[in-house]
Amino acid sequence: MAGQGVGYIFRALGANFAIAVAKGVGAAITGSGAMLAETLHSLSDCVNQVLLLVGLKQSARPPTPQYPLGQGRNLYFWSFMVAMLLFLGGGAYSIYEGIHKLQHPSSLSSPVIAIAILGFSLATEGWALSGALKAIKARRGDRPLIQYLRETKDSDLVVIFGEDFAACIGLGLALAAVVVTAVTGNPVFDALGTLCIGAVLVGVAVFLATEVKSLLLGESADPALLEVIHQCAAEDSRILKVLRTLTVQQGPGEIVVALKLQYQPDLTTQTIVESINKFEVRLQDRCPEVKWSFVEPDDTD
Amino acid sequence: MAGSSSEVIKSLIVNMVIASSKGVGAVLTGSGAMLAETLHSFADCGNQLLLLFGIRRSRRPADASHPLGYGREMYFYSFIVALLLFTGGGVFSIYEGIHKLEHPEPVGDVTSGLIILAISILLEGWATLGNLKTMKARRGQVGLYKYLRDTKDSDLVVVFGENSAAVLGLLFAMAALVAAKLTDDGRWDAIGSLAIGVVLVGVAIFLAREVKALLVGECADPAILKTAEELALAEPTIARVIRILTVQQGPGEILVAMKLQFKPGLESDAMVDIINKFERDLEARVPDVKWTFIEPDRED
Repeated sequence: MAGQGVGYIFRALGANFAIAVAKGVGAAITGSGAMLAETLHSLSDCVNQVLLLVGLKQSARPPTPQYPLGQGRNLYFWSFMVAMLLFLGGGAYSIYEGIHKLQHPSSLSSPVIAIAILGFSLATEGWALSGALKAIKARRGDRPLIQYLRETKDSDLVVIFGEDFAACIGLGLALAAVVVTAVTGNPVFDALGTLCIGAVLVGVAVFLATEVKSLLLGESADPALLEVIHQCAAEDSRILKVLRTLTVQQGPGEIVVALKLQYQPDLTTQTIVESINKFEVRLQDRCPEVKWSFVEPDDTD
Repeated sequence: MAGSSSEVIKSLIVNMVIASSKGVGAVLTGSGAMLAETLHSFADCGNQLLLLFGIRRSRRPADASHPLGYGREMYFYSFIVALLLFTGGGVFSIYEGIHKLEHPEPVGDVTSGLIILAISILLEGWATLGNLKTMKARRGQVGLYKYLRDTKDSDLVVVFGENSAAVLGLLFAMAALVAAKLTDDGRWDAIGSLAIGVVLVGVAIFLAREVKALLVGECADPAILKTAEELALAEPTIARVIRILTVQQGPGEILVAMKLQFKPGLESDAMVDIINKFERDLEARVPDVKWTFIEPDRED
């Protein structure tokens, strides 16, 4: 939700930036080209967080004639772009690098520095991940984590969690690969590690892209809202039946509700208007995320 | 409108023929550049396949998770094509141009190159003219540039953008090849590739911006607001239009939501009849309107 604080994005940005600096120092000390490439890679990770911040800013724009429902969906758009970058710049790039290393194996020049940097990075990413998990915990309540990730409309949090999670797994794999390579002296393990990291990043990116794309196309709101709508309708005896309801998640924390209600046949204009307006007040009280509602009196579905 | 798949198929065939003729050229001359061009043209075919896939996906009926259906799939796949045009088309050509500038190749026999380019220009030109004719039928008196900016038929805009950029690019390629032959300087070829890259990047950015607006939820053509207001005010029991809002859900799919102030003293039955008649009239005037929600309200 745009209003619930974005500390976890800044935390991830800070973590990635610190990692980029550590890798840069490592590159300067060892003069290793691979470490320089890693530095650039971590800097490009920072771009992802900047894109999410751009998305949050754009999604807060007020409605205009061109965008009568505001621009909340901009956050889903930029979240999708981040998933794409994670796929290409993260996953596809790592797989390419792994294949390259398999074809031209080179022995590790300074495993101690590499292990130190990877250990530092793992601690930093773990810190960022714990921030995202804390934010998720506060929102998911009793729902299991995977169910929350699939159902939530807060794409920025899911994307940040996915990125941090993939980064931690990736760093763990890299650490294992470097240690095994240093012990056995066989650089093939380093290449295999890179390939595994690429596979993890591709998998996470595909999951994120699928979830965010669904939101971008126009998902319905949480189905629990339908029950709230029926309750609100049942509390007014003049409303006979809910004929049709339609909910659309416009952006994080922004829901459009459109419904058709069947009223008693002999009410006057004023009574119907009053009943509809009270219904809308009840609905928005119980679900403040409903930002637009259109209630039409009708006779058949 | 989802009905423009024939335009997409036409472009697909054109690109396949061009890819094949480039492939024949590559085999005859053994040129690496021509082989790269062949792969490039096959990649263009991928764009049309993505658009066709988008048209198919956008026709899926509404379900519980997507109550307004999947019309916006068309905008999603149009956006992906714009991204591919940017990276696979524009950035790749610029990279190739820079590479050629650094390592200019000697100019060999340009005859087969010119023949293939001429065939490609004719085919792409034919496809572009087809797009222009279809757009002319839809835009009426509206200017072409304004139509491209305002239309909600993203597939047609994307196909036209691709085809016209291709024609321009092929003309650059031809001019570059002739200049390289006349001056015997391979760097002209590099400049041609750079120019093509710039055109593709420009067209891709234009397409991406337009399609992104549709993807995040642009309103429908403002003329629909006027039509709806006119229709409402023609009804004597409707006192005023308090609020009106339209959303373009997908090509040819519009949602209209209104808050209307009715004159006092109406009974529910009569009000429901008036609302339903208004909805029928609106859908008759604007067949793209697929959902309407009319709320009776009063001024705040």
